[in-house]
Amino acid sequence: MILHAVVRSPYAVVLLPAPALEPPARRFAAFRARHGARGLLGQGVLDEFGTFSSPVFLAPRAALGEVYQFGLALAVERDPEMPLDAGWPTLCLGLDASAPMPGGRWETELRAALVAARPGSESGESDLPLASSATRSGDYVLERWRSGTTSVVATDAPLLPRQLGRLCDEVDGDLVLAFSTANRLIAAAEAGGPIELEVAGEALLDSLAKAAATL
Amino acid sequence: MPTSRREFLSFAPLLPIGLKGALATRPRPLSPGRSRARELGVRIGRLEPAPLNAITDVAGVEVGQTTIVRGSGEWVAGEGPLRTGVTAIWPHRSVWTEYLPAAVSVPNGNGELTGLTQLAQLGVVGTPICLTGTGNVGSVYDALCGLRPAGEAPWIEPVVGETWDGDLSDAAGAHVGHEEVYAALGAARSGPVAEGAVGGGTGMICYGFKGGIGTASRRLSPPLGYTVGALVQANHGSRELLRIDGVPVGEALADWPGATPAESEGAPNSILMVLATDAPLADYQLARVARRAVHGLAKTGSISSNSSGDFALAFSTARRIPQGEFWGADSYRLESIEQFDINPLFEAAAEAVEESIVNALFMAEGMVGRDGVRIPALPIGPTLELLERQGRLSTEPGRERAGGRR
Repeated sequence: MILHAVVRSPYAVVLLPAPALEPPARRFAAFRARHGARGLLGQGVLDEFGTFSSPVFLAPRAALGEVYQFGLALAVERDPEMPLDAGWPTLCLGLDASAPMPGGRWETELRAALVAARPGSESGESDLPLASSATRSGDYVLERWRSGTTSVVATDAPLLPRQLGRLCDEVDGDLVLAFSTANRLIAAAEAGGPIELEVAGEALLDSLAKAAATL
Repeated sequence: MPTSRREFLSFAPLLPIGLKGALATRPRPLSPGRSRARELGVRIGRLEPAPLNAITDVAGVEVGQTTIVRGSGEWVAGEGPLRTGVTAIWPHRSVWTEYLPAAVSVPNGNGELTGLTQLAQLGVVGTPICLTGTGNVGSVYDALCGLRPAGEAPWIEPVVGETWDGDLSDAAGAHVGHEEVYAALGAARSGPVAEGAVGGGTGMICYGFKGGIGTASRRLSPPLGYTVGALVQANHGSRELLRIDGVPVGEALADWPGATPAESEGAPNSILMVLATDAPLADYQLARVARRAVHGLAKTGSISSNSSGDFALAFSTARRIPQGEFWGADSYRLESIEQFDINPLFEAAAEAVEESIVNALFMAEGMVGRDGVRIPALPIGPTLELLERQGRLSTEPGRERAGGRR
């Protein structure tokens, strides 16, 4: 698994590209919404910046608001100013699924599970329907999580937002998010000037796009 | 004499230009009797321009233009009179084989910019960029296709943008073809850029006055030190909307005489905005810079009207990507500034576009076109007076206004 971890709870499945409270950093992402798809929160930043820094939350549409707020609280914990590279905005995808509304100490429990998640682990339990599949293309891995018409594709290939959009084009479904764990963007002050990106060549992108279509 | 197109390009600057009556416009800083806005004390924005105050301040960028002004009187479709041309921009001379990161923004899509979908898909520009009149898009496109060096690399589509010059010129005859494009590309230089009614801007109308080509630049202070250059082909806007440095000049000059009424009140057309920078930016960041062009456009009064084709293209010269690497390598490296450094580039882009549009108006002389259609130049004296009344004019050109910069 190329993700740091996957954490399941009764109200949401959380994909962690990196530790939940990692130092500020962003990663590239893109999405496609078709057939009037709804339930993507965090879309404005994806559109403008092509990046995200939040865990990826998959939750029933009825619970999206509460889950979004949970993500904001996590972002505040990382940095009270909620900069773009410390978890703001919460990246949430709505699922066509029914589930109990969040209640009790769910936030405390989910936070604890996210912080405790070990690298490469899948933990927790959930009745939310979620299927996963994976494939390889050369040296790189593509993983897909799917629930109904909503999908998330993750890869360790060095793709820019434009290229991740092309992966989305190859994946069926009404709402598709694709992200790459390859380039970790940190603030210039920390990097000491311009940062160096790794960018996939078109031949590699072609092979990845073909592989994505088989997921 | 040259025997191939590539040789032609290398010789073209040395040739006497007499191609079908076309004139490959050598760079010249001024139109006779006209001056650039900054030289007359108009100070757009708060950033300083680079030495040329032109897109060619970005190292490697060259601009060449072919201007066609031929015939007068009654319009004969497909023949004339002609008030058209082409403005050619080399992002750098080896762009065919060493691509540059690039992106496009489209505030209003009632126009043509060829290569748009491929540019969006690939995130690079791999051909010269040509700006011309609507009626020449296909022939300029073909000309650029014919220039493409032989090789096995996949085909990169030429970038040709258009705005409508058919109010002053015949637009039915594809009057800009191979020879005119080659002449413009061959005449391209990195120095001052001719502005006003030249090249692709020859027959353009901007806010009811004669428009055309304009350019400007901004250089960021150290430690960033990056340069942003803009070049526009301005053919947009209704006169009453025109604002210069925030002053509603168009309202005050709404009844300024000299225009053939139907044309001065006609539907507002389009603008092409090209932004170049030496800042290390990836295509997704250049898309953000390109989107800021509309802020400069809006400051001059445009609302991107329904009939307008407004396109902005931005490219970065910081990293040339060899085509073999781009197509064949598993991956390649690209330097990129981070988000916290990008605001000054946004400001520079908006200011450079705004001043480019103003320069197009200041530098363009009035023109009589087909069927005697007459479009006046922006009247400089009254415009400066309006700016001065609002305290927007530096009393000593080249120095700051009283009260300092905003």
